[in-house]
Amino acid sequence: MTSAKLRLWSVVSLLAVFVIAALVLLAAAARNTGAHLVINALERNSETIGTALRIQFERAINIGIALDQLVGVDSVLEDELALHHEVSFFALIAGDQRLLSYVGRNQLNPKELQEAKRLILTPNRNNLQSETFHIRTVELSGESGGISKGTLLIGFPARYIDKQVNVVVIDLVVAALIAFILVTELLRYATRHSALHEFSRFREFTQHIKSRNFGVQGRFLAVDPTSVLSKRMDEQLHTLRGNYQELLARIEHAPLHMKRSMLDIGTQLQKIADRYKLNSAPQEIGNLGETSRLRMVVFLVALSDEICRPFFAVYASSLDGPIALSSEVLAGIPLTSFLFTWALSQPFGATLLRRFGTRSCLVSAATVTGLGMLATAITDTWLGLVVLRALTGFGFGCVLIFSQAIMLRIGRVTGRARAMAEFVAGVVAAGICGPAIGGLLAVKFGTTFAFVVSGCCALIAIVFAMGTKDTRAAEITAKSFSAKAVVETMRHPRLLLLMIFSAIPGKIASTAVLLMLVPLATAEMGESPSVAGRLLLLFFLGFFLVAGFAAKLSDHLNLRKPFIAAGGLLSALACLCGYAFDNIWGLFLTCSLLGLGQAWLSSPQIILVTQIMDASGTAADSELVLGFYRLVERFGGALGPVLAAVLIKQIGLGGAMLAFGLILAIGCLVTMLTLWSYKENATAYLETGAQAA
Amino acid sequence: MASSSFLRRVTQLAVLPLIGFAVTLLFASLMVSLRLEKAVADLVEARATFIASQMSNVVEAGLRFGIPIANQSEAPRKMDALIGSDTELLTIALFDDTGKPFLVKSSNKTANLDDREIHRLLSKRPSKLGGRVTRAWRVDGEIRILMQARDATGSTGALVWAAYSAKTVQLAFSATLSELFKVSALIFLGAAILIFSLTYGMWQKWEKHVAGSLTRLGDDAAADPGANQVNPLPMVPLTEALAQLANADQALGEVRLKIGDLSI
Repeated sequence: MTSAKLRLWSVVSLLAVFVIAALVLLAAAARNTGAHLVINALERNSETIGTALRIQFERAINIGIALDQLVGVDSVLEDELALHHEVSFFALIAGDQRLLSYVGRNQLNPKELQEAKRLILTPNRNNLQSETFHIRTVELSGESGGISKGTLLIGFPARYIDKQVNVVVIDLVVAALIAFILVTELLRYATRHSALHEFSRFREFTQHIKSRNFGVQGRFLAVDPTSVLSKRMDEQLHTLRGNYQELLARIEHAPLHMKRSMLDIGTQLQKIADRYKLNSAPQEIGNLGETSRLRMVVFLVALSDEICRPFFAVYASSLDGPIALSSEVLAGIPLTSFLFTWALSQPFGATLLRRFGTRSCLVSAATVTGLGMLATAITDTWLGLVVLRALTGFGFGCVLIFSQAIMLRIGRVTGRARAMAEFVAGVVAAGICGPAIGGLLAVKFGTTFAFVVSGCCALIAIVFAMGTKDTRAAEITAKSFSAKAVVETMRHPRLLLLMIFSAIPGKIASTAVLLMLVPLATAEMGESPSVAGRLLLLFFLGFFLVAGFAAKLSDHLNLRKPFIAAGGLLSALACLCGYAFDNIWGLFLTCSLLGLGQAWLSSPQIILVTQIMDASGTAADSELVLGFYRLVERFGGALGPVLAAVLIKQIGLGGAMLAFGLILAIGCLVTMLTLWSYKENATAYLETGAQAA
Repeated sequence: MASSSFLRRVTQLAVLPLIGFAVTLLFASLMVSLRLEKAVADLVEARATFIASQMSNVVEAGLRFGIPIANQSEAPRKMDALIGSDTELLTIALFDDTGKPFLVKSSNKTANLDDREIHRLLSKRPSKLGGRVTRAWRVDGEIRILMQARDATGSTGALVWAAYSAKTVQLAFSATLSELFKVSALIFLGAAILIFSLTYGMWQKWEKHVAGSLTRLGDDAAADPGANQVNPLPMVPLTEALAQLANADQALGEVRLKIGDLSI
């Protein structure tokens, strides 16, 4: 390692240590402030439980029943233990110090159990405490008072506050990640002219030149030394391209007698041109203005939906709906109406886009979503909510499908998988940040305020949508969504098999694992729903961090098949890990690997679908197929939880996990066999040809 | 002495990471405060549920012997005992099987409950035999518990409502948040100094390296006697890129020479 690299690593390490120290400091401050409040609340609880149980036992004592003759003491204490998660054990001791009843949590380890028994059997119980437990002692004496008839002991974990702080530390890491992603997304567009962005562009510029890709230009505008240097490099690239053209012209226009000798020189020149990509039109580096704008639109609209996710079901069930409907149904119908209109909007996306132009479509769809959300904030009827959710679902679905179609168009120049990964990253980033922000807003400011914020997010997206380049119907070959196009799509065997064996199983397994298997398995392990929430976050995080890299690599190598295979295998492995390791670490692996697997195949898969259709020359083109593909995928997603429920009932949670692993593995195998003879480079050639045309 | 334009560039470079760090601290403080608030709220909710279950046990004992709640003498006594035993218990009430309030003990004049909540819980059946459906929620500075009391046939014979003050819970949030904001402000100050000084040092070296590169490209105006030949930011392959430009120039130069030789 060079000294410069070592120095850079030292700086990075210093910053990492600083961030970790800052988080530890915050956790320690939280502990110091929160400890006495939590301990006070614990003491109040123990006092209430102690008083209530004392009254019950003393009632028996008062009517002359001795404590050792009481029936069902264990059952009463077990009921109380089930109700109070903060209590570790109860013990009832007779006046002669005999242990009459002990009821403790199963989770206590042998050492803790031994410590609990030691404390219970200690004769002097004044201020009974240890490093493991705090004990509240309740004397049972009856109406006559005087001599104690017995003692009730209530044991609490001494490290209750530390357990809370451990959760706080995890929360801090999650908060830091969410804040980082949120800031990155929000600043991505706003800072495209900033010094940091310009430096990042310069880095990309030098990387291209280092890898002998001279078909680039920096177009740096600033006057600082780095920009001056990059302008000089731009000029040098321009000169080299000019020199090449000049030499090529000299070879081509060489007199006839020199043609033969020039042939070798021409070959040498061609080799140089190929090596340094001197013969291609230069692309501006980091010119992601349009992509960034679209990603902002996608991020803000997806954020507006994600903000409502944590509280929407509870809010819907609290509205005044038909009395015959249970709260689950009251919550479910608005959600279903949203998903239904979202799915319905998918096939019509491309047609609407071509009919009305990209900008008008995006602006209208974002307006519908934003106004729908704002109206949701003020509606107080359940039926109104159902209608508004349907409207919002349509707007939301339209924004997503319009953005994907536009990204595909942009991707023809900058790389399709990369452009699609920008879209996916926007959605996933919103999925990571939205629920946490929504939960926070709803708890502190109420659901109405959270809905208003959500609506405002979608309305802000209009500003970015208005800045997008407008492409009208006349500029592109207009094909509309029709039954014929769908039939032609369905008839394409390779595409059909890719959908049946890769796209649909992937979506089914993802929704089944994330919505059913992981939450149920964590609950079965005795963990809280927040643990399930953190595990699910791993999926999104894995996806967010890897999707962009995988897409770039896929575009760079111009390969899709290996990515689809790797992603499918990783997803299958994720489910098999969940089956093999029947503990929280198994679920940790399941969520992380599934996120990585889906990130690996997501963009390459959709690009392959569109490439296959583009190459087939059928009535349906890539944008129409995209809508159809998303529609099928959404229905696959809806099938996942239903299939999971059936499998869990038949073969249990572990069996269901194994079944989804096998479905994915078989799907991956069949997909690979289907694509074995498919020549990706031939399609890429067609694409380049179409571009040139 | 650094020029003002250099300082401006360093500030521009440092400001974005600092904004990111500030948002991270703000978000982390809010989330941690909410976590501690939830820890306290869970404990208060457990206490409220316990109180409601105590009341519900008494009512159920009467209902199972066929005594309607109007004739139960133990229920009002228990209610008095419960509200007197805990200062944070604001309201405890009993609703009959039609959803009408039957007994209400309240230290809170504004205590009210939505009829829909009552009717919805009256119509719910527990998932297991002998169980009770309970609903817990937070509203208007209160933690509320609504719990069923079932008769001998398993039907809902009454509902128990307990409302606890959420002052302790709100205090947990505000106290933690204000403490964490103070700590965050100090951390941010440290971060600002660290990031600014690191950016200053690295960028100074980088601009010296750029000046060196400009000199290599023949830009005498930018020539700097103290130019740094070592790239302080190896993730920017400037030296390698310049070498490739020189290689390409040389390769084209060779072709030009060959064409020139032929033309002669």
